[in-house]
Amino acid sequence: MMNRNAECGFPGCMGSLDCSHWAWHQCPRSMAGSYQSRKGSRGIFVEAVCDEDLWIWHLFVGAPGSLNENRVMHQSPLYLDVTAGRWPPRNQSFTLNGTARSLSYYLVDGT
Amino acid sequence: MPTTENKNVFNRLQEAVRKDVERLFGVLTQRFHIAPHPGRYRSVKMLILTFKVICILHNTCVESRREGFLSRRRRAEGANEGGGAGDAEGENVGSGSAEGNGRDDGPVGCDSGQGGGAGVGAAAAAGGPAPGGVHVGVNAPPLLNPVDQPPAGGMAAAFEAWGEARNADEHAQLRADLTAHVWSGRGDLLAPYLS
Repeated sequence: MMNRNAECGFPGCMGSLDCSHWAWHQCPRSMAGSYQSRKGSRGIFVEAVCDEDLWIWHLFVGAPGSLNENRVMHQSPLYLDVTAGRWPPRNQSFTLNGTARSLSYYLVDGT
Repeated sequence: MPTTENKNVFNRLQEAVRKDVERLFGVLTQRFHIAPHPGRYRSVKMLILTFKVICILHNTCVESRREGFLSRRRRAEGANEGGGAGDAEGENVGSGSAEGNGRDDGPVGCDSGQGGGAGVGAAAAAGGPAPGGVHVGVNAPPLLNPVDQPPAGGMAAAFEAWGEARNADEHAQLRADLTAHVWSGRGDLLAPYLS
C-alpha cells in the first residue's frame, strides 16, 4: 500500500482517514444529549482508515455523535497508539524533497 | 485556501486521493443495507458489533474482488501502456489473486504484530471486546496486544513519541515537503484525474 501511495505522489502515506455518522433510531432519551449530532439526528461516529481499493485498515465505531471529528480522532485507539509511540512502525523511511523521514502519516481533511 | 499554484496542485491531488475514503462509506451503504438505515438496537455495544461485522464482510468482498478492481489511476496507466502492462507493473491490473493477497496480507500481519490494533482484523479477531457500559464511547483495545503498563520504553519515550506525533512544525514542514514533491511530479501524478 505504501508503494501505491508513493506512486500516487504521497510517499509515506498510510491511507486516508475519514469519519462518518450513523444514525441511531432507538437512542435512549437519557443519552440523547450526548449522542445528538450536528445534523440533528442521534447517532454514533464511525472512523475508518482505508486505502485505494477500499480495504479498511482501521475502524473505530462508537464515539457519541455530539463529538466533532477531531474529538473522535483524539479518542480512537489509532491515535492513542500513534501518540504513545506504538504505531506506526519506524523501520520504513521515505525521502521527501530531500529530507528523509521515518514517521508515516495519514491523509486527513479539515474538521 | 490555496494561494499559490503549487498549493493548488497539491490540493487537487489530495482531493483525488482522498476521494477513495469518501467513497468508502458510500460503498458500505450500498453494499449492506443495514448501514444507511438508522440503527435499531438499544445499546451502543450492538451498534459497534454490527458495524464491525459490516466492515469485516466488506473487507472480504474487497479481497475477493481485488483481481477485477481497476482504479481510475491504474486504468489510465493501463491505457497508456497499451492495456497489457504485464510483468513490469506487478501491482497492476493483471496481477493474480495470489500476489494481490500476498501483497496485502503481509502488512496486515505486520500491523497486528507490532502496531497494537491498527487493523480492523486485529480489532475484530479479539471477539469485539465491546465496552462495558453504554456510556463508554471507546472501543477497547484488542486483547491480542495488551498494552504494557507502564510503557516498555519508559514514560520518557512515550512523551517523546507524543511530542513527535503532535509536532505542529513537523506537520507544516511535512506539508510543505509534500507540496514540493507533488509539484515536481505534477505532470504524471495529475494526468489520470484530469480527463
